Amino acid sequence: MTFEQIASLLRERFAGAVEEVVPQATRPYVTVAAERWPEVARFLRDEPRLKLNFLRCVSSLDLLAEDSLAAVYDLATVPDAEAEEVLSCPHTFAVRVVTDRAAAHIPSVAGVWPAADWHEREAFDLMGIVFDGHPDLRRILCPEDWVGHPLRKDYEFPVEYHGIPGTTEHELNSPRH
Amino acid sequence: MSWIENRFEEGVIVTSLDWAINWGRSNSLWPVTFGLACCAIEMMALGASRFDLDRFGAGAFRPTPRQADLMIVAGTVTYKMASRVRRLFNQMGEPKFVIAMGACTVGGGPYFKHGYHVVKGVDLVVPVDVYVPGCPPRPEALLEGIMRLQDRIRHTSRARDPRAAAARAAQLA
Amino acid sequence: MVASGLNAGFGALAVGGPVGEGGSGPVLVIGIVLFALVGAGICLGGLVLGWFLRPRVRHPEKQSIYECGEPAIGRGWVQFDLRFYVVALVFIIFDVEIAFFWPWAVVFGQGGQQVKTAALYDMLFFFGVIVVGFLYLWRYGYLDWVRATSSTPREPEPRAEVSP
Repeated sequence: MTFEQIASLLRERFAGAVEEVVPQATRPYVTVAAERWPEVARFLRDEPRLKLNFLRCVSSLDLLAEDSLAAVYDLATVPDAEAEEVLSCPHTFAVRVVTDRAAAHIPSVAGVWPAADWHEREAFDLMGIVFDGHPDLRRILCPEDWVGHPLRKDYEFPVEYHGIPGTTEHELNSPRH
Repeated sequence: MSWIENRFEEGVIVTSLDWAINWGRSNSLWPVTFGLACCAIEMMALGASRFDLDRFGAGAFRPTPRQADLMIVAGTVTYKMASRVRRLFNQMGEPKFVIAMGACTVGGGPYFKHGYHVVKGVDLVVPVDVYVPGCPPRPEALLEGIMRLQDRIRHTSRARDPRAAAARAAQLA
Repeated sequence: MVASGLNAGFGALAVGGPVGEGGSGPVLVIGIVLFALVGAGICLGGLVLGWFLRPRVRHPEKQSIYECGEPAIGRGWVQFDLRFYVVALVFIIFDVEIAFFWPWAVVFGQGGQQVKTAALYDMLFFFGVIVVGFLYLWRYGYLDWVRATSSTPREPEPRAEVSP
């Protein structure tokens, strides 16, 4: 199924959830409302025509201009060994879920795709999106007592961490391009 | 530090003893396996057959810091890892030496400007004896660093040094 | 003085003759005592010299347990897997059995026909007792590293569904 077909299938099934369809992007994606995301996710995984059972990646975006954060879920299909029909072109699909910067909450889909567990932890660690219902939401890359979310565009480097100076250049606490 | 240090003036016995001890220490520098990132590959290449660190007596990489006297910090040190580096350095027995290998350990390397989690130089964490720049340094460059360290060890002396003693006395006074 | 004493001691042993005779009593004792002293001297000499020459820097973390740089949780003395004990025990038993075989095998060829058959049956009896023990170990699974919990055959488990 092509991207447009999957998008229209989603639109007719979940009328209010699909907010935007963007086929012209480099990787075409669909924007889904955060509250309805888990049921859309379950549909995408379980629907026999789609069977998007492989979550390849969860990326997070800092949309500073719109004062929001987003998580992008990159999905694909891995056919079973006993698949009845061989998929002529395996589908890929991308879903973007947008949330406010101030209170960034997205329901977790770790129960739908187990890969989401650590990917959502990374998005939480580096971007600060809180995933509600996640089994074990804590920092995965930075140390537990790190302050701030480093990949945000307005992040400032720490001056020092446990006695180790943060920078040796005078007053450089954010990347200056 | 040791019983004999600073106890005798320079003389034929002390200098012979120095020569023997320094010969032993410089020709059997056992590193602790401490590859953190890409520089570890070059360190492994140094230990392998083409460049062969073992002919310098330094090819016995020890798995525990207790049996090692050299720590080659090969790779980027992050804040999360810095406490472990320090703890392992503390667990090594005297005499111990540190070689900072690669640009990341020398001064932050390529992550100097934008690396929010990189310690800008391992000398902010452990005292370093020899710096080996490069990204990564070729095995021959690391070998040069080890040979400089060997030279440094060969010039240490256990004899009483009147200037150092005077400076210490001035400090304590 | 030590060298000459050692030479005298060993010379006395050499002069004493082939194995089994030895030198006269006191000379033999002197030889052995000197040998022990030199051996101890070599070991202790190195340690004593090291005590004078090695640096002494006391640091509390030097005594800490090594856990690859992490702060250690608990002590290093933990309860180990008992299978290692079983392996060691089985090894000791069969190793000692082989040690008993050895002198028997060396002298088996000497002696007449009746002696040989008697010796063979003796050793077969000894071996038989140990073989019974070996069969017991084998049958009751003490030689397996991963032991089955029961002797009934298990069906393959039904494949679990991946469900949310």
